[in-house]
Amino acid sequence: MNCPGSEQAAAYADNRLDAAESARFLEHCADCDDCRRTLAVLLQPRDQAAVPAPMETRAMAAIRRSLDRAPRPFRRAVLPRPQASPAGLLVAAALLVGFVGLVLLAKPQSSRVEEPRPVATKTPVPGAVAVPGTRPAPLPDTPKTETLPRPEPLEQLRPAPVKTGELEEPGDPKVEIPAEILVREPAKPEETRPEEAPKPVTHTVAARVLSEIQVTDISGNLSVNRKGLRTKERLTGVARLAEGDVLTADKPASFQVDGRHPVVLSENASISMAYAAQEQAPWLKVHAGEATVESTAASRWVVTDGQVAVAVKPAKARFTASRREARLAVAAQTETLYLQPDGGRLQAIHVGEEFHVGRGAAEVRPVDAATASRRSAAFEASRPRQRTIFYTSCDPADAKREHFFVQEGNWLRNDGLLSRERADHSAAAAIAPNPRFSWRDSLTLKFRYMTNCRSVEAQLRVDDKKYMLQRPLPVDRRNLGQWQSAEIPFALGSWPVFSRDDGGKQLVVSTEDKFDAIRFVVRQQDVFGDQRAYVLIDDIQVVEREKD
Amino acid sequence: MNEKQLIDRCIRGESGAWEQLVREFGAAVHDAARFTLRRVLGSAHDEDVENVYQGVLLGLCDRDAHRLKLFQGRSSFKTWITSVTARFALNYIRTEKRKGSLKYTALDASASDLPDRDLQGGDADERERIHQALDRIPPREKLILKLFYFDGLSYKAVAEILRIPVNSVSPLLIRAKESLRKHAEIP
Repeated sequence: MNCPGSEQAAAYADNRLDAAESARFLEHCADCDDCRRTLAVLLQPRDQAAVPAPMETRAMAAIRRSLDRAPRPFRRAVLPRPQASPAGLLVAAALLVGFVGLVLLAKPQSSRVEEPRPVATKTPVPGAVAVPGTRPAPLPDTPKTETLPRPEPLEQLRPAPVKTGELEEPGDPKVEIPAEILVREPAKPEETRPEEAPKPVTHTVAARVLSEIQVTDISGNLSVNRKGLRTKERLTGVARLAEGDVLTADKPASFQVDGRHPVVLSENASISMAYAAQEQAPWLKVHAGEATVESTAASRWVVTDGQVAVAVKPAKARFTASRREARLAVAAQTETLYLQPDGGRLQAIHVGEEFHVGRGAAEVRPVDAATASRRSAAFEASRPRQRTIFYTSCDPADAKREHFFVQEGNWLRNDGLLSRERADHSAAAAIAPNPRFSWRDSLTLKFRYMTNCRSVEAQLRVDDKKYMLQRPLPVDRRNLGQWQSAEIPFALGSWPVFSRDDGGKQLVVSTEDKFDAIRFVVRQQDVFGDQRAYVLIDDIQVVEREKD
Repeated sequence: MNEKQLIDRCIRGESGAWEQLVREFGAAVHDAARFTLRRVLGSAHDEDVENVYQGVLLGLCDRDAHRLKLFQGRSSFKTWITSVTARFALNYIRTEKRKGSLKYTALDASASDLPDRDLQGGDADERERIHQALDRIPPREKLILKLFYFDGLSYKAVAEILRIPVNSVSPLLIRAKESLRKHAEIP
């Protein structure tokens, strides 16, 4: 049905349609429920009540936020746009030509060709040669480009020709990337190639846009030295980390990245963590010691020691990153890893092997059994024993009151968590977990709250079966206006009150029941003094403990 | 400042203009939201009214006032925004019902409150026959039956919508029912 929409209904209501248009519209209304009901709303005379002041204030605040909001979604940092100067246009044109050329060149190779990755610098180091022990990679190499973070003259930005023998599989067709004309010539099998010495390789760190990352389920003695601050901060529970923050662990400690990838730090380890927007991968910088990472789902990683950076291709595997003899070492523990140093070629690292990479050299070394066993035992001993399946928080110091969930690796924005007054003189703050989670004895609900009431009631609502579990939390008068923490296990005994929409007096709770909302309610009759009831909720977390 | 100037200022993103727009037309939005929810669901919770109220205003403001730019001036702005709100509320009801988060008695369940139950009663087969017959009668008769029996509107409201005198509604309804009975073969 072709619905004319709001405009036509409004025009009809204001008698702005001619007779034919009106007849057509009424004919349409006979079949379109929305238009018919809209018309009923438009033409029903009624007294117009004023909008409640708090509702209007909240709407205006939301509009102001919407007007002020920068169009920058979380984690989607955008590279600076080139200036619209002639030089900038030339740079853009050169980049485009280079990119198209690379795409054309990459096509006839394997379908598993990785996407081209910009390289910040690519200066040959005199005397540096490819290590003979390096194993050939099973996948084709990433095409090379010479893109720089700052605009450079056109000539320097032209794609460098791939020279015979340089980072190339034996038998690969010889190709050259022309500077301007993009014609790909097929290889001639009968053509013989002159023998050339291997060209030196240079590994480096490509420029990346790094944004904050959230880590959860922190356990062990982990502290952070925030960028620009001299003091150290002890980390517990959940934390957000940026590129310049340095985490240190005196003793083995652990946390989860993206809510599902455990990271275990060895004794005296020091790392930084962030999120690499381009690769959509967690970024791990090892300053000292070892960090063992387990990707519980196929996930990319970027590992660096500041001198070189290695992209770990999507893998569901455990690996250890460490600094060894001024080189970055990445050891595969459970599955074969495909690693690609910035400016270098792809390498397959099998279980029991360690990839050592420095600026001018890379090699694969075997890991002795004792070290592998020690690492495996250390990981098992220190890995997180719980998993945050849901988390939302707000920074009370941040007037914008932004909230973030972490759920199965995703981040979602939420509305404010300051309670809203309701018609029955109670006030409630509510969140809706997405996706919903089901009842499990292994879950615990944690949150912080601040209220002016004698009691805060936590509620879990199951819409499908129209019931609600309730847990009143008494508040001591001395704790009024103070942040307090609560932990409520998902055991039936912890939720002593329930209510069914149909007023039934019995309730059967099933493990298939999924919760649609977590609510925190305070009532006006419980207020100390004569203020309006309120509750502030923060750090709402549902964690799943590992079963023994 | 007239409506056009106010809307132009809003489109330019002037915060003060938006404040004025909310002050001037917020009541119409709020009223339409409450009325639509109550009419379709039987009651309107403050929470849902606010969701619709805020959703409409934010919808006009978001994406560089994309929705607001759609206002062509074929009606007054107040009528237009009321129409937009009614649409938004109907969509909101559909979405929330899908999510199962609305806790109202749906119109079907409150049908006993409707002025006449001729079209609502009977068994499933009979209702099915009636609905099939509705598709066969002339659109104008179909519309008057739906307005009166499905939407529960009064004679006066039906007359307002169809732009006919109030005392014409009853004969039209009788004629429409006759037509329906004939097509549905109801004795």
